[in-house]
This record gives sequence, C-alpha cells and structure tokens, in this order.
Amino acid sequence: MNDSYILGISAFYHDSSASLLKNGIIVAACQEERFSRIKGDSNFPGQSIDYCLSEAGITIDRLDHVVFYDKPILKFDRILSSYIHTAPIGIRSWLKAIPLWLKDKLWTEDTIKKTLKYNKNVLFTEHHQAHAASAFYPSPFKEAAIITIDGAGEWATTTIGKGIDNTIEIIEEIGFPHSLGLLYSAFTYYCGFKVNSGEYKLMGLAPYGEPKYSDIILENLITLNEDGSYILHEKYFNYISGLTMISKKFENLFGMKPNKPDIKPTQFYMDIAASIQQVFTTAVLNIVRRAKTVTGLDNLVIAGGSALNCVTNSVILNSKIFSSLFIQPAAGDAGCSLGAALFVHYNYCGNTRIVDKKTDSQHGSYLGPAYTDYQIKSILDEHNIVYTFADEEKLIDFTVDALINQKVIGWFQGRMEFGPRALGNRSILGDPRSETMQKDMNVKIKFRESFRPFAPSVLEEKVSEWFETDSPSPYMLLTAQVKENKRIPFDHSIKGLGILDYRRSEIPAVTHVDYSARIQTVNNKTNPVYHTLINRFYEKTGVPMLINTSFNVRGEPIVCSPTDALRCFFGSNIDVLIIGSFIIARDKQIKKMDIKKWKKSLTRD
Amino acid sequence: MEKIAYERLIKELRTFSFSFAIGMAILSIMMLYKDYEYYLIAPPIILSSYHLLTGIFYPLFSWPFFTIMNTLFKIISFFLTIFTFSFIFYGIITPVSFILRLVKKDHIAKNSNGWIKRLRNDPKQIEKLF
Repeated sequence: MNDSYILGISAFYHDSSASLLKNGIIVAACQEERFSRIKGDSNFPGQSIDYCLSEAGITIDRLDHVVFYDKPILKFDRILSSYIHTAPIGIRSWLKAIPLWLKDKLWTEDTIKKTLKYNKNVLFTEHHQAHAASAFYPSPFKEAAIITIDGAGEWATTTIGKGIDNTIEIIEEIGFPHSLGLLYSAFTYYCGFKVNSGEYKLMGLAPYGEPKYSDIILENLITLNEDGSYILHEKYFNYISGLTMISKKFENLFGMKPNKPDIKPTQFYMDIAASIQQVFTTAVLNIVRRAKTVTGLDNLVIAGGSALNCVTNSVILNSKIFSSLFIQPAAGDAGCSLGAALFVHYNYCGNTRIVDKKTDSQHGSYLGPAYTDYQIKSILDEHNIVYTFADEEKLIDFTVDALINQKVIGWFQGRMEFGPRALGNRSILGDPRSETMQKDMNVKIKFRESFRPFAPSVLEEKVSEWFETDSPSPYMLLTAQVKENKRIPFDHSIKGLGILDYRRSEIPAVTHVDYSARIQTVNNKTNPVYHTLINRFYEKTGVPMLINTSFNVRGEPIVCSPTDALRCFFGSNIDVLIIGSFIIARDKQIKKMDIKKWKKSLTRD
Repeated sequence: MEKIAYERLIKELRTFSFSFAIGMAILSIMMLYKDYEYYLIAPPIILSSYHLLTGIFYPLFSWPFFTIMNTLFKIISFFLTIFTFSFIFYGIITPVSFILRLVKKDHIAKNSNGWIKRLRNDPKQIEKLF
C-alpha cells in the first residue's frame, strides 16, 4: 500500500505554518517565522513546506492532498459585510484591506498551486474546523466536546462541537463581531501591548492588579447570557471596519487614554488587566458549561488563540465540569495547518482513528527541525567558535553545576517545538531558587518588561509536591498555585511591581505575585534528555525544576538553527550555550560573531 | 535561497527588457509613421535596441529603467487605487449599506442573537472555496 501524505497550510494573516501527515501521523510541523526570522511572519510558508517535505523525504508530487486552513471567499464575505455595516465610516481600513484582498488573498488557490507547482485541487477547511480538528484529533480521547475561541475565522468567533472517533461536528457558533478573542485583544491594545502577540503579557500583568473594573466591563462592554453566549456592545469598539481596536467611548468609559507601548503600566492598567482576565474567564466558563449541556460528553478539547490563556485553562480544569482536558499546544492560527491536515485525513478521507487513552499524538510538540552533532560542529567551526565536546553524562553534569552557580544557560537539543512555547529543546534555563533571576533574566537576557513571570519545567512525578495540582501540563498551558509549605509570607499591603522585590517562595524566580506558576511537566518518555537534566538538578539541590523560557530575545522568533542560537547567544547575556553535544562558554570566546544584521531584524512585540 | 531569489530577479528583468523593447519599438514605428523629427524618434529606437540586447545577453543592465518604471507605476497605481476604491466605497458600498440597513438585511447585525445553530457539517464542503 502506498503511503498517504497530506500537507496543511496556514498563511496570510499571522503566524504562517505548514504541517505534514504521513498516514495520519504527524511527521513535521513548523511556523514560518522560525525560518524567515520575522516574528509572527504571515507570508506564504515556503520554507516550512520545504522543511516538512525534506523531513518526510518526499517531493511535492507525492502529496495526496494540500489543504488550506480557511475559506477565503467566506472571509471576504464577512469583510465586505463589515464595511456595508459601517459605511460611510471605514474608508481608511477599506483602502488598506480591499486592494490586498483583490490582489492576493482571494486567489489563495492559485498562489498555492503556482508556488508549489502543485497540480491537483487544493482543499479548504473552515478556520474553526481546522482549530477544532487540531484540538480533537491529537487528543487522547475517543470522544470529546470541542470548544474553539479566537478573534475571528470566516464568520465564527466561538464554536462548540463534538468529536467522536474520526468525525468532528460543529454544533453551534457565535458570529462576528461578537468575539471574546477580540475583546481580550482590545484590552491588550488598551494596556499598551501589541494586538495578536501581546495578549500573554496582559495575562501576565493581571495578577499585579485587582479586578476593580469587572462590573464596568460587564455592564457596558459585554453581556453574558445564561446559555453561555455573549454579545459585545459595538459602540465601544472600532475593529469592525476601523484600524484600531477601541473607540473613544471605550476610553471615556474608563477615563484614561490607552497606555503607550513600552511605558511601564501603572496600577490602573494592572487593575484593568485583572478585570478583563476575570471577565474573560467567567465568559469561557459559561461556554464550557454550555458545551457540557450540548454534548453531554466527559472530555473537553480546546483550541483557538484564546486557548493559550493558561490562567483560564486552569480554572476550566479545576471546575471539574469535564473530567479531562486537552489543549492543542499550537492553539493559535499556526496550529490550524495541523488541524486542516488532520481534518482531511479523518473527516474527509474517513480513515480510522486509533487512540491511546493516556497519550496524545502530538509527540510532545517536538515537530520541527533537528541538527546532528556533525552539522552543529561544522557551523561552530565556520564561525570560529571555541567549544568543548562532551558526552550526554558530562554535558548534564556540566549544565547542572553551571545552573547551581547561577549561570544562565542556552539549551538547544533535538527537534524544535511547534507552537509558541519552548518546551526544553529551544530554551533558556536558570535556577528557580534565585531571588534575582527573574529580574536579571527579563532585563539582561531577554531585554523585556521586568513584570513578566517565568515558567518552571518540573519533573512530572514531583509536580504535586511543589504545586497544588497533580495534572500533567506537558505543553505549559496550565497554571497551578505553589504549595502552602513552599510559600514565604510577605506583606500583602504591597501592590504592583513592588511585590517583585520580596521573596515569595522557595522558588521565587518562577512564583508569580499571586503564588501561581505556569508549569510545564516533563516526563521521561517525551523528552528523556531534558528529564535527566532536571532530575540531576533535583538530586543536587532538592528542587525538581528549572526556569524555562523560550530561547530568543524580545522581538525575535524562537531560535531554529544553530546559527540562530549563536546569534542570540552573542546578542544577549546568556553565560553558556549547550548545543547538541557542545559546550560554548561566553568567557572562552576569542572572536565575537557579527550580530549587527540580527539586531536590526528584531521587531517591537 | 539567495540563488533562487537572484534567478527570479533575472527572469523578471528579462521579461521587463523584452516588454519594454517591444513597447519602445511600437512607439518608434508610430512616430515614424507620423513623420516625427528624427531627434524625437531616436530615443525610443535606442531604448528599444538597448533593452532587446540586455534582454538577450545581460538582463541586469536593464535594472535602472526597471527601477524607474517600477517606481513610476507604483505611484500611479497608488493614486489610481485610492481614487477607484474611494469611488466604489462612497458610490456603491455606502448606498447599498443604507438600503440594507433600511430593509434590515445587515448581516453583521443579524449575528447578535447568541448561539447560531450550525447547519453545514458535510466534509465534502472542503472541496469548495466557500
């Protein structure tokens, strides 16, 4: 029997990606930004497709299907309807969007066929079908309720569906312009962060504030209905056919102008962040209850950009409305390439789906390129890097000792992660016991806002000893409170960023101001090297976790190749770079790499 | 990747050279037919010959004219786009908008009733663009 190959593509809006299935198994998946080095790159994912094909060792003519993740004509219909809804207002946005649509976006099929030299018909799933498929098919569940929430697809912004065996069915949806994703993005903009990429900063800011404005939001901006649906009140927003997210009425409602980018948020914006986080969580919980009523199933899977809100995810898990939860690690639009391909394999082609009730089929989300020691060595030699070769045992010992000595480590191993989180293969690591590490890593290593929390990678078998949870969180999509006995009390009258000056637990570098932590549990099966590293750190210190933050600096995509890692290493203040079997110490380098071009490529996020 | 980009540029320049050479040749013939002075006919003939030769032998030499024409067309098309699309917006979309709102056929406003039952779940639908 011939192998079947399906290529999924997500492109032209934000975070382009490609995914390849071989007989339904995920062979490769990657975001274009990792290759092009343009953060959130929305261009056609040519390099990602090349990588996917090379990983499978095939050429384009071997593909059985190519599928795009949304329906351009339906989306265009929504865009035209938006202008019809607001005309004569909206000319500036119209002049910006429509020529682009008529020139490129409407001809997606031609673009794909021409660029790839692909002769068969291209398939088009709906945006939320792709999200739903990305959540359900890789999950370990035979049947599950499916919730997808994001800014907007074609028309839908929120959907409830169900997946049974190899089929998924969307049961009901909420249509544009009512969108929880866009509501959250509106507040992201209001607090001074960039829409479509700064939402996680808003989530990180929320614990510094108090939800003082929740009532105002619920009275004016959004109506939450008992059946889980919601309605946004249009007059406060400008996104339907404007170039900004919010209207003047929105500003007047809170009595403050939007915070300017890169300006430290005041207590007001922290309270705003806390308020919208609370409202968002309430709204999502209502939808979860609705999904339970409509489907009557025990398992829940979630996708869509809003599913990256790990605070809300934890509330869903702890609510016990559903007994089990799976969240697609690439929950944003990047994951749609994977979902679209899976939709074709199961729902369209009707292939049988076999599930292992314990393990998902996302392969730890390590679906990107890997480099051999031979390839790494030749790159290091090319750049005149001074390095030491070490076997795995020595490498682990060296790294753990360096971590204990408060060094910051660039950790580059195996296949790159698919999705926005670094899960221990393209990570910057540090000692979570350090009091100064959070500030130091934020400011000196990542060059980002000092309030941003860091996440711990914890041994799965030890997670319940340190955190109020026993649920695995392999994709860093859940938060948990640090255990009472690990906390250090501090004066709760202190508010805002001042809290950062106080040691709040035995692991201060990964304890957020509300004692929460966005945890990644690491097990021996999915990432044995990383597990061994953390385990060795545990043996030497008694702490079964490390700080894990993505291997990049502000405005840069996560590193993909050894060359990217070297540039980031020389452009930041990382002390040691461990790349494959090679140790590169900053203080031993004779020659520095030229990083002028790299510095210019960094964008404001 | 750089090699592919270079090859693409050369192909683009060659196409431009030939098109420009043909355009200038047509212009020259028309000018000859209309008995223009020789000093006026000479530039299009020279440009046509030059681009024909660069197209055949070394397309990179057509780069200056390529850039000038490109910039010129970009400016023209920018203003043309603004004019055309503003006309469509105010001349067609706005009146349609008023009428649709008047007869309560506004699609955006229709979505304000909470959950919408999903009617189409046929997997074969993915063969279509809509």
